[in-house]
Amino acid sequence: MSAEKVLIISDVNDANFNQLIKEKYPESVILSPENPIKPCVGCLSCWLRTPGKCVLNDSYSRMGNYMSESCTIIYISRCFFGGFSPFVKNVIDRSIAYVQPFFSKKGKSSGHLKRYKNRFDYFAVFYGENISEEEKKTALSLCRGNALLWNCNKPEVRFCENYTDAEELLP
Amino acid sequence: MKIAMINGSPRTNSASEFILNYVKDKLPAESEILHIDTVTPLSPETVSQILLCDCIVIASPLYIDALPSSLLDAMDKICNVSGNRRANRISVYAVINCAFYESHNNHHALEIIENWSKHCGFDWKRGVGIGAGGFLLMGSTQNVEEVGKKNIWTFVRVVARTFFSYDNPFRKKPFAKGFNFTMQSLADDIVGNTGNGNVYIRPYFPKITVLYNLMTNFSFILMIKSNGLKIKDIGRKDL
Repeated sequence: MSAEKVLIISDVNDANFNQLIKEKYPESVILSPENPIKPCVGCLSCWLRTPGKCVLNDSYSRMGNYMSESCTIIYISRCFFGGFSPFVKNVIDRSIAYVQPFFSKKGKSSGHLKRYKNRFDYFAVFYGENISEEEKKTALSLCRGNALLWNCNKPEVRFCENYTDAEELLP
Repeated sequence: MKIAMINGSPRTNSASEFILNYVKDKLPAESEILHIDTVTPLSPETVSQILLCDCIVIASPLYIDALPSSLLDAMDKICNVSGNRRANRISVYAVINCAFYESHNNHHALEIIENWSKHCGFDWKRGVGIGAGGFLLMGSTQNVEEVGKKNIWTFVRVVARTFFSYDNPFRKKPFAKGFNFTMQSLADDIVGNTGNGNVYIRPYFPKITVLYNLMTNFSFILMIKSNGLKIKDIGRKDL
């Protein structure tokens, strides 16, 4: 597991924590607030002008490529009322280049056509004090929806109080 | 009545902006509307102004089953200072629109706003989920120009759009699930400070998802060709 390529998207701005994660997954790419991110502007260039690539000039213009090279993607996020925190969601917003624009029917829902061949494992850890049952329900359902969108395997979702507890929950 | 209308879309002339203007037109003329966009991060002054309102109306597109990150950032800033609000609880309404046909996809976004409202001490009233949000901007000449050349296909698209549009002027009979009916009822709820439960509406387009997807995919092909690319370029990999 540790030798496979892992992409970690985390909103934790703690160098010690990131070091722990790096030691656990030597072949990993960690995206955290250490690298500032520009918000998605909804231009759809990554689908219709420069397919596969985002035109915004920062470290997050190749999210489709990063996701295509990953065996596992781990999201570590503050539980933001049942969803991802602004930083993690920003990274996710910038990732739609991973799929093609074309809509396709997946059972009762809709999704997008794949752009790349890989299928990654989806793992999410939400941290926060007093995460309510409604928020957990929303977060779980949201991750299932995301996994369908990214055409990846069934998601694993965990909850904990503090981000420092997240490391032992990771696969 | 003071109403903060928050637009979660980073685009200009978006469906979310259309929705907010549509609802605003149905509110009493004496209402004081505070227009907030989330393209630039909210300043502390703007947050203070929002917290002096009676009501917050959020309109947003659905980004990957949830809300755009810039809207989340705005919500975070509002939540952090919501302890300074007035004694009266601020009512919250939300309208989320997605590109997929099934409007129920919007439920995660509405739940997140509901959970946020409760945490801030606001009074969550009601949400609306709209499927096939692109239909809201149908019939506008701006969208025709985006397509590029004006040929038979442009004509077909404009006719199809006008017929299937949410606000088709030829359809006089109000539909219970119709956009106009729902936005009128939302405006009535805002004025009366009422609202209970979420409502999900879909366009007049036939409930055949495959057909809708085919039409949307055809639009994508027209757009990519108008950008000077070939159809095969759509699936290009960034290696």
